[in-house]
Amino acid sequence: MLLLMIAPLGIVCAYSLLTRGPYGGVMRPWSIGAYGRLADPLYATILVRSFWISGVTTTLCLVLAFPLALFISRSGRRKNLYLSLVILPFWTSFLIRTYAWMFLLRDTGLINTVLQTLHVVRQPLPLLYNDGAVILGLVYAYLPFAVLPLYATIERMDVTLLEAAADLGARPWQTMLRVMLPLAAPGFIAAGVLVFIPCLGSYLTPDLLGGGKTVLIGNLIQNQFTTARDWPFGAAASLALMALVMVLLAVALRRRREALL
Amino acid sequence: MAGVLELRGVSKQFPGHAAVSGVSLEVPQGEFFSLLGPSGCGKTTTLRLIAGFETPTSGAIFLNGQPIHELKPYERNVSTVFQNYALFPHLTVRGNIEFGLRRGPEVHEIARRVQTAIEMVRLSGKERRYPHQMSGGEKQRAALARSLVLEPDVLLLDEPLSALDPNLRKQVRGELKQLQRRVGITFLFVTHDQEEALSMSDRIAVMNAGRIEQVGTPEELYLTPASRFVASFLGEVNWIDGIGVRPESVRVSKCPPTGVPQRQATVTRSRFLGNRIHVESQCGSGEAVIAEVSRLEACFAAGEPVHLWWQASDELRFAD
Repeated sequence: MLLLMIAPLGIVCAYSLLTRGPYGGVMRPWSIGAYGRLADPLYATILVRSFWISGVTTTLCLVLAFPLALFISRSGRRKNLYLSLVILPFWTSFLIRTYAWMFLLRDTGLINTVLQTLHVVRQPLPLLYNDGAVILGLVYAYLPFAVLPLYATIERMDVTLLEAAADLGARPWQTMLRVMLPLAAPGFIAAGVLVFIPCLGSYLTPDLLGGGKTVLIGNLIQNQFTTARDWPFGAAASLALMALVMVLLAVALRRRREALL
Repeated sequence: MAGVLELRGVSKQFPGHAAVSGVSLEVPQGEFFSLLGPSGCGKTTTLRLIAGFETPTSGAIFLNGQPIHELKPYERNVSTVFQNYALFPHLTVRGNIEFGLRRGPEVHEIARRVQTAIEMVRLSGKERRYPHQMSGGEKQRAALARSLVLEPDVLLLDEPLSALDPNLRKQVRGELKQLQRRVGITFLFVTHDQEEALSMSDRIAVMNAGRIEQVGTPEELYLTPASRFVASFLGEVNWIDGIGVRPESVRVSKCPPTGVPQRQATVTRSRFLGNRIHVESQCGSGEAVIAEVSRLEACFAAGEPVHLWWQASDELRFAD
């Protein structure tokens, strides 16, 4: 625990308080200058953008994952097969899978080639290097993280409660809205957190599918450690992001607890 | 007497076993009717067939003369009190009771009916409680109110007292029976507890292995059981040379009685049960016989030779 969590965090914290070295890395003197630069309105824009893209991705993941989880939990003996299919993508590298999306979406990619051959479109559709492609890639990447907690919640649900709802005259869609969804709330919260937070910090998908145009907070941090060679600022930005996420999470959980009492 | 509920040759086949086989019965309006039998006898499946959670493999179910066995649960005017009560944990007592009324009458009419139901089950002042803040008895009453507020043609109760502690159970029996009389709704009560069925029901159907063994009033079932199964499931019975005799019909004495057929036996044990004593003895032919005697009668010690006799009219005879 100490070695895996506290130590790296301590190093990041220390880096954020140092001065940048000429070729990357850090040097003395100690300074809080990196944090000062976070106040720049440019970064606020990037932050808002990151929250927007992550929010849309999370919403889409939850909307897609619930019916999928419900379907799997109702599949009887095929449950385990479907569950392993959900997890199957993890067996190959995330980088390779993201490149595969590029091959599908680019102007000379599979989708555009097929559409042009069938004369559905004349010009290739701009499928790659935009926000849509980034969101598609993120939804693809994080959907399993939404499916699994929702599946677990649905599986644990007391079936007699659903029977009771039908018995009291609720039609299937009413049972879904008035009993299933409220009871699945903890699953939605877990799934939302599990998708939203990694989305916020993602840099690979926006980099490859967004073509560098879609700069998110994750890309900003990554750039500081690579091309910009400003390690203290990168460290400060990641700590600020982490603090923000933790505050949001605490607020969300408190809200939830208050709602229950 | 027209039946509000009628089952005609209803069977339910699950893969590998027949849960219910050819069950037919008719329940008149306003009756407290019990399905009694050991676990796995098909009584709960019968209830689930009436509620609509299962569809019969064959046969028909009628509610007020209309066939309902092909309707969905939400299309049938019957309501179920579940064994675990199945109260919605995210709703208050009031929310639970209102659940089935939302699509129905006007707003203040709903409020009035909910209030009446809450008062009827003595949950006034607890309307805002959530199920996890309630005792077992309160949950049971909330579940009852949630169903009764819909004024179902038949209320189905699936062992609703089995989750309560034994002292409360006896008290609730009386309350439940009283409530049923007051609202006049037909109750179909499923239980494995013979005492519960005997004390509350107008009529009882005894089920065994998916079939109905006998339907009758508690007195009929106890005094003139139609099969060995019914005789031994309701109350205790001694089997002597293929004839059944209830322990309370067996007389026991140390001196031989005059002018009646009798058997000689040896006392093996005397069991003190408070208001009565069970004298266990063994006949010459090897059969164990229990005789129920009053505490005020003579006491019998193990090893003592005794004489047993009973009235011929108290004998239970079966063809099988």
